[in-house]
Amino acid sequence: MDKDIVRQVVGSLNDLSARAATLRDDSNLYDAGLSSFGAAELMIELEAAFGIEFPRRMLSRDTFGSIDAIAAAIAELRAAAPADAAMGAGR
Amino acid sequence: MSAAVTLRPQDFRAELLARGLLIPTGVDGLYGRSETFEGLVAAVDALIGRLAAGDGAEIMRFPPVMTRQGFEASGYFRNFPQLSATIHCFCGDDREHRRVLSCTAEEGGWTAAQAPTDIVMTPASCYPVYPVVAARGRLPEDGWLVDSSSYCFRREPSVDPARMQMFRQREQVCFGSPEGIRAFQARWMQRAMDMFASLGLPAATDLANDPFFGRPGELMATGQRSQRLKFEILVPVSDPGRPSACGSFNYHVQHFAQAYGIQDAAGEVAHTGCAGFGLERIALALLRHHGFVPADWSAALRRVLWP
Repeated sequence: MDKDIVRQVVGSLNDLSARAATLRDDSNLYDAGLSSFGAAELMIELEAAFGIEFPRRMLSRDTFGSIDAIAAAIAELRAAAPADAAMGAGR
Repeated sequence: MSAAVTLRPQDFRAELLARGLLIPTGVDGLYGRSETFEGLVAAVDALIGRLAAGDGAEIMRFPPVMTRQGFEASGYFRNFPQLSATIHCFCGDDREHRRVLSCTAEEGGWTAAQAPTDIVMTPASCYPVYPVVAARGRLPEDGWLVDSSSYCFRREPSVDPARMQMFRQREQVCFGSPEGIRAFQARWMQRAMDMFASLGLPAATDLANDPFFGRPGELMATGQRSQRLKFEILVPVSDPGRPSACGSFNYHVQHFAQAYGIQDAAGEVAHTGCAGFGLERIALALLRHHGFVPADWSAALRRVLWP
């Protein structure tokens, strides 16, 4: 399931690895220690994990604010281009 | 206001060169400076020094290079690869020397064996300061303040004289608590606005972001703006329609403190901020707004610069 993969990616970040186990799906990742550096890293790792590319309009702090927010953004991208997303994920 | 204000950007540059204020080198953004221009830069530098006089900042001056180790720790290449410049040297023997001298242009010419050294060009005058402060151990209870200045290098060749590849910054660097840094940032923005008013320059503050590289960079830039971490003071210089940042006021949160291991008195990761001025840009703004001959400027303005 998407959220599990998101959680895995989040937990692999230097900024959050120490607190990954205590994060709820709606926990604010910035409050938990995510820096702007870390957010950029998170974006790249999510794109690699899901084979997607976040469009410009999604490159905001809010998109990466919580595991829920990230999962919602990914779901939205997949709904917009299901074929592309599936192809990407298989890469 | 002088007729200089109505000059087109290309005419402003041409006038600076024709009058010998800036000396062209054939490389965009790389200039020599005349006695008059240097006198003006020195006056602006001294004026900023007078603003800082009561703060008790520790003066630190470095050559326009920093350690590669310090540069790597800062994350600069990760964020701004397009602006970075490294120092490469020839480290071979005489056989290797002969070989590279005979290399064709396609083979890399004389640069074929140049290898990275342990120094890089300084991208902002505050960069060499952080590792030095970190190495001293925990900060004092009230934090610390450093006054830095140096030539800086950024690889962004441009014909706009306000966008040089090598230019000088005068920066105050603050180490302490979040409240302390925010207060420092606000104090210096007010001082700077007062300074630009005293220089008869139209200045406006604006929220800003650094030119982070690539798509991750866009995310970092929006993050920087939404957290209100970077402010600039803009003054029309080359193009009246597109003012240039002459002052920059930054709250780094824990970025540098984490990168270099700077701790507050209690051993927690400290916060840092800096307030910097582009000395050449302010000198250029003065020439733009008051005319190309500082000797002809009003007595009041001259008293501010040369008290």
